[in-house]
Amino acid sequence: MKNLIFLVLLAFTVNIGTAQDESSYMMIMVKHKKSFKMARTEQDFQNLANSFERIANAETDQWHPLYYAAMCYINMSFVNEDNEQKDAYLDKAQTFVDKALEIYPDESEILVLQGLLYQGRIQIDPAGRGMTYSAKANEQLNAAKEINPENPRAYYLLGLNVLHTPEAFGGGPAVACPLFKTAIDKFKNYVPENVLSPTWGGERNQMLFDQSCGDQN
Amino acid sequence: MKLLLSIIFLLAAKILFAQVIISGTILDNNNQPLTGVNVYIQSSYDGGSTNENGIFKFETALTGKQNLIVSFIGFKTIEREIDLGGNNITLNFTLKESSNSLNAVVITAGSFEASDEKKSVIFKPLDIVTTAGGLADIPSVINTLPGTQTVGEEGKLFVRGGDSYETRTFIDGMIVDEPYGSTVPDIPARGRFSPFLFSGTMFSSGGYSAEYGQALSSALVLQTNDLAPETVTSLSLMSVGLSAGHTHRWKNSSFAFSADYLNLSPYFALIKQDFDWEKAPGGLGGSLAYRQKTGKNGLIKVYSQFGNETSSLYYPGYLDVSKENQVAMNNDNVYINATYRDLHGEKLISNGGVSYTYNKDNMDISTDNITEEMRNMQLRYNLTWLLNEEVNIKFGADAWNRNFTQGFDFTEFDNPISNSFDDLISAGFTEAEVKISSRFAARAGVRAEYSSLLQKGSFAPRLSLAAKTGKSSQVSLAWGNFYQSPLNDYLIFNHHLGFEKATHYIVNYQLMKNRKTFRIEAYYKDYGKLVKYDSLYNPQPAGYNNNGKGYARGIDIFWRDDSHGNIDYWISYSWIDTERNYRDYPEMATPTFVSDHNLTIVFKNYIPAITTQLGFTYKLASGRPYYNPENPEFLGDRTKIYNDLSFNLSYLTNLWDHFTIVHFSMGNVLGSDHTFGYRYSLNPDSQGEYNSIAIKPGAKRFVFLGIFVSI
Repeated sequence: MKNLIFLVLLAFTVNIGTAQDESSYMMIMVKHKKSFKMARTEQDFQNLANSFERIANAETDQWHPLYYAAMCYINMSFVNEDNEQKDAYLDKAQTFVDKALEIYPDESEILVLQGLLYQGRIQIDPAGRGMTYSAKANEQLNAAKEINPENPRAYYLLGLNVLHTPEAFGGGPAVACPLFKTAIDKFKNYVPENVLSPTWGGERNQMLFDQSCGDQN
Repeated sequence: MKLLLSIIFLLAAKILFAQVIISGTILDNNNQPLTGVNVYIQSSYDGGSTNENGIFKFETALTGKQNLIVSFIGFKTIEREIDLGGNNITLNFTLKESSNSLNAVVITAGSFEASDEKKSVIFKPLDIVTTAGGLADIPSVINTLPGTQTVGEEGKLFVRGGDSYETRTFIDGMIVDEPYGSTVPDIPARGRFSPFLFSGTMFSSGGYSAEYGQALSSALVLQTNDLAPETVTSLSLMSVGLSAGHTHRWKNSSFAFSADYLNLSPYFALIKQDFDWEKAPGGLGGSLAYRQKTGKNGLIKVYSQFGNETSSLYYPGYLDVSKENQVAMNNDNVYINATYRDLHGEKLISNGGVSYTYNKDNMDISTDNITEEMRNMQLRYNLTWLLNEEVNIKFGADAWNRNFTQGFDFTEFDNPISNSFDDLISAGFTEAEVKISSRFAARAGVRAEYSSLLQKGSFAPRLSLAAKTGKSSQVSLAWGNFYQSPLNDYLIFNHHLGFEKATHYIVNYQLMKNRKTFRIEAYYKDYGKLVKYDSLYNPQPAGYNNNGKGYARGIDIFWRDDSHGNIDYWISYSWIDTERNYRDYPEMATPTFVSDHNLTIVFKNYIPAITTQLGFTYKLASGRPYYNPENPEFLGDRTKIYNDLSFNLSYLTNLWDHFTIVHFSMGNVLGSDHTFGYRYSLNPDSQGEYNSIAIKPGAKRFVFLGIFVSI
């Protein structure tokens, strides 16, 4: 009997491509999410983005595939050096964010993702876009925080937003550090909803806190 | 036994779910392999990405007819039906670049665009507030681009041999009747609208879309901001006045208001003016802005601006320049603009709007008075149909009603004279933009207009083409007819005139690479049907006619290098050859607002360590013609070469914890002599000589200091 179950399972795993039931969806997503953590080059992210996009097209009521597809493109825009290409990647990422928000308009993590995307836009032309896009990012991040006050990434990115804002514009470490500190606490207590829930940000938040907030430790 | 069973079962499963291998190579137009292309079966997980050799390979257990998708960023997606039997499939594809990819061609002839959203623009919205000598005045900054003329005593835009009225300003597609403030003669006007209202600017020096009518030479198209990003209160303390504003942001709407007080008398007291001011320019004004999101994509925008400005000075007389008259100007202005845009499905975009302008200029010249009153209203609706990725078609209609009254109350007249007209200009246009490939695009349109006052119409075809000549370079061509109703000054006297006409021919080459832009444009313009008369205040205004003509040809060169981080500069050079015979000209002549050569160098440097932005603008223009009654050649004299170096500095800081910008700027740092022209007495004096005076700015240098605080 045990063997039979094993074989049935095996048969299904061999064909996960077609048997798009809940468990195979989870298995594949978990696998890709692991690869996402290991991805470093534009090519890594592109291949993963393609995988996530395929899943997103098949699983039209799930937001995680869209979320990670967008994440891949945002990362590609961080890795690429050409400003126009960066924007093109972010345009592509935006299409996934839009779709995700259509299905789950009140998902805190998707709003955080939108905030991150706007921060990517700033990076391309800080002088020209800083003002508008940091306001846009703030709006999304504050909305994310309101929906889920325990979402550590909202605080982390809010901190990042002001850290990179010149002091003259009401930014700088003095304003950013309390946000990083809150984020550290929230990261500590963060309980992912399921295995696909986003988990990024904790390390970098800690690193930025250590770098910029020496006297507030 | 158990094991055997298992194997049989597994094999059966394998046969049942037979795997097919799909593989192939993906190339681009130039037969180069594409890496990272997503090849998959629609609505399934089955698929793969191409490797560095453009090769993909994946397995699927799906059977029957399936849709294979090949998609990659910047390329057109391919869909192909495949039949999955039991055999492996090999498929090769060549992807075509998408017509809205990064490298795709864009129609550029004649136009300079500034936008936050669009990529590959030459000019940025921020440029308008950071360009030295521009003083955050939109027309002044546009004046650093090629194709424009430096006309210091007017402060308005003169484009490619065209008079200032031939440049039309549009806000969110609506005509702006009074884009400049009203001033007394020889005092440069400023644009009425703050650059902070706009997120997009398109300046076209010719060949513009059929969407824009009633403009002979140039269109300045301004796009207002959408929802205000955040709630903020701002205060401005300037050497010329005060301003305060507040913006409130809700989730789906925003409201802003501001109040402005302008008074130049303290400044004039401090810096000696050559003009004999009776009352320095001053005024009160305000603005309101409301934005409301409707539904998913809809947006309603309402903007209003209103104010009163006065000034008065002693000005050399028309008949005899040695006798000064007091000239006083009192201007009331109200502008309201309400627009709406929405998306219907994914293929249709609606743009509609209504605008209203009230303007009253009350000018006293000694004991005489001239009053001009304008009440204009415009209604407009545009529909854009996005047929597919390659083709979009626009349809539009607008109605522009103009009511104008001019009254003369002169001591030499027995009774005041008042003339007025009422005109409805109805217009319709359609235009198609086709991207034949990523390398070739065309835009063709026609515009028809009819004036109820003149009982005449116009039909204006326009065509633009653009073709890629390399990865970063392209050539554009534009041709079109442009019509404009005669100036109000003529229409009040004569209702039988026709539209003035211009034909533009433009060829443009542009190279954009690594944040560097080079463009060169050559043009020829043929002016016809310009208004002519013997004397403006001819007792027989029926003598006004459309027999005027002219031409303009020239070359505009632009170079911008923004590749050095915090340093950015651009150079504009224009050469023009133009003559016209219009107004009371006795013969073809180069008009007074034209310098044959114009050179502008704009330099900006942001220094992060001291959070300060520095800017320099240098302008050099060859002499302009002026009228000298003693010279038998009409407009045969030229002024001296004009050169000007302007400087500005913006320091970003915190004042009591509030973000603050301290802005200092100075015009004509070197104190060069600026003579814009000469004004001669109409009649010779008793010795038979014509007296003259030089037209110069009020002071050698202009200084501005402002502190802007956000609370």
